[in-house]
Amino acid sequence: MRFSWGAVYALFYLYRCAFSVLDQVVFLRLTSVPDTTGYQASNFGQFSQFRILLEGIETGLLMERNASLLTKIFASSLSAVTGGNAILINIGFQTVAFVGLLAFLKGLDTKTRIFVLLLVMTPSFSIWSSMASKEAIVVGLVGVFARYIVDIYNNRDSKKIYHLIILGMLFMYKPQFFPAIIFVAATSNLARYFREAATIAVLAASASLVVLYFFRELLDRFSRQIVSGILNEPGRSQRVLSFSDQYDIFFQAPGGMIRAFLGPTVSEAAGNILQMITLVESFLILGALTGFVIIRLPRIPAYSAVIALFTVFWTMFANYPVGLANPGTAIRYRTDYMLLIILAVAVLTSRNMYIDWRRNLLKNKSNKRFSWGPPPSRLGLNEKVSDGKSTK
Amino acid sequence: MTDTQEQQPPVAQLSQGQPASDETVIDLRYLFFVWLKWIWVPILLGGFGLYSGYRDIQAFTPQSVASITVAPIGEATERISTGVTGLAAQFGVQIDTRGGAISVFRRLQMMLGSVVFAEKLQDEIQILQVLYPGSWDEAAGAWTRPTGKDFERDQVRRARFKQNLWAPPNLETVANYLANTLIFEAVDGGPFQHVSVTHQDPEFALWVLTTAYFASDEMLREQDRKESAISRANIEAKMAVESNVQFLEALRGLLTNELSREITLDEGLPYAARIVEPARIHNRRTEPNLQRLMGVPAATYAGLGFFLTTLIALFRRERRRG
Repeated sequence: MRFSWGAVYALFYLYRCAFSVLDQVVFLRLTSVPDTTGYQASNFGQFSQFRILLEGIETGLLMERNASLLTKIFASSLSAVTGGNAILINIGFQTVAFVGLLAFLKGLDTKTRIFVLLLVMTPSFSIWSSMASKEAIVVGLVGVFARYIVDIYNNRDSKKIYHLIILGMLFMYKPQFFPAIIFVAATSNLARYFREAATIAVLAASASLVVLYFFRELLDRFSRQIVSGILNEPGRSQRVLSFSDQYDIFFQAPGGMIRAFLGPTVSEAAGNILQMITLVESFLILGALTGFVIIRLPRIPAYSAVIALFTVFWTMFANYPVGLANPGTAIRYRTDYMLLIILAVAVLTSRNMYIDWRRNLLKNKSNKRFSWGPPPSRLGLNEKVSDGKSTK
Repeated sequence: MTDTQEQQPPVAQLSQGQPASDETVIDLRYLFFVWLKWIWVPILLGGFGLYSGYRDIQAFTPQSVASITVAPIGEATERISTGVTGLAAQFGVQIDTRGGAISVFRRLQMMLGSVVFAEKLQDEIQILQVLYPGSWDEAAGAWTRPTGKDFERDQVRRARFKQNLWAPPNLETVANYLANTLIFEAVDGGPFQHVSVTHQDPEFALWVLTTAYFASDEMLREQDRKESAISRANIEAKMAVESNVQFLEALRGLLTNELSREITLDEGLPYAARIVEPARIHNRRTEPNLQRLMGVPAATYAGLGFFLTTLIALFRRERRRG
């Protein structure tokens, strides 16, 4: 019996709906997730006075409150439609995540699609992105952004207004994703105009490190404030960690990024069956991603290697300080950035995609489909190409 | 960084997506051979980084550490600044800011970096002349302005860029010095606080630590004593004119509280924190962090070499290939 992709997507949706139910009847009874219960209890009664709504809007650069407000408005809409049914509200949120996942999956070739589908079906990812939470919305937004990047490499790039809206929302929800987002989007767009794509990628990567160098003091101070803030909260962390010395955020980064990705440590998992399951799952995900890269490694184009490596680096570096303090928080936040890691590892390292991208760019240039950009010679068109025939 | 001579396939072949285009891709196999061939560049630069780190280690001057361990009295949950809360919230972390009142110990920390405290130290022990003895001209009774070509050049440069020019040490300088010199660290993240001062001269480190710490403790007590006296006088004044028995009873309660507070203030024991371990000079002096002083420059220079090798190899190859 053969399944069409449409049927697979339908089953995938049902699978995620099952997690929405499981979240409500099992997970939320085992552990307290105040955000989710808060969103499920949201209703438009809270916004009865327009003044309150306006007061909730934050106009500063960092707009966490706006993200919460937006999520509450969305939760209230779902509550109004579903009559306040918690499971249906969960399903509403997971649908947002599903839309993003679907957009991303549909942009991939069959082999990669299967691999990505298996990764996004893992329990922890499904649990956190299938309940009423910001994670569900962020997964949806990152999914659409990932599709935008895939489209660039498939030469189906078309910048739409909704891409800007998605980026604005992502900035509200997860500003720490922006180093990775800016790097991958800017480099992918820029490299289209140059024959020396790999050189551009290396220069962009080094430029991003220079920016990191210039902001080292600020990052160091912020990281210490954040970690001490988390640790000062009673019951938030059982771990003893500190960024007490200057630049610890950089020195602890190599190990810290891995720990934040894995969640619980072996010793923490030894006494807790749930954490053990989480740790095993984390190792499986890490193993799958690593194995995927190792198989491709020698044949990965230099350009793809640089862009994938730095996308992973920027994603994990910006997220690891908060993941270090608490194993549960680490897994929850990993759900948010998981798609960026998958995009980098499973998609951007593809040799075929790179070849097709460069070849089609060349073809499009020769056919003068783009009226803007550099002359064809900048893309390696040393010879005039017309209808597939070359003439000196 | 020369490549093997390879024939560039006709562009027509590229545009038609023939297997030939697969061969033109610069992949990690090519980079691996480039790195292997030019490995001496990062190694050489890494060696230079090591040498640079070694020179820093030679220039390192070991310092003595004087410290005191205390247990803050009546430590309440400190208020976390709204800036930190907002920042943490950007990263998805909600920090509960409903803490209690600011503790006396926290006030002591703030007091140490204040101008009013520096003023007290100046009045009592001429702290400016102690901290900056080389700049004070005893005979003239004035601060000596530094001289020399380097200093004058620096002043001209600062003036050009509208930076602050040299000024004699003042109370603000003392306040900044103390705020940056007395380091407060929670012991294992718990309630105990380790206060330390690092300086080349162990006796001076101990003197700065004990003088600043206990003087600020005493100043806080003095402030609170004055506040309490004012508060008591206010209550007594109200009691003198109040005729309502219930109000009088309430005011008596307040007065009792103030009197018991005054008794505590007069005890003569440390005010902001109990001393767990008295001030002492550590036997071991500070030592350079080899990992950071040598490892970081070595890795940075090696990384730079690696980056340059990769960049040049890719650029040359891509220019040739197209």
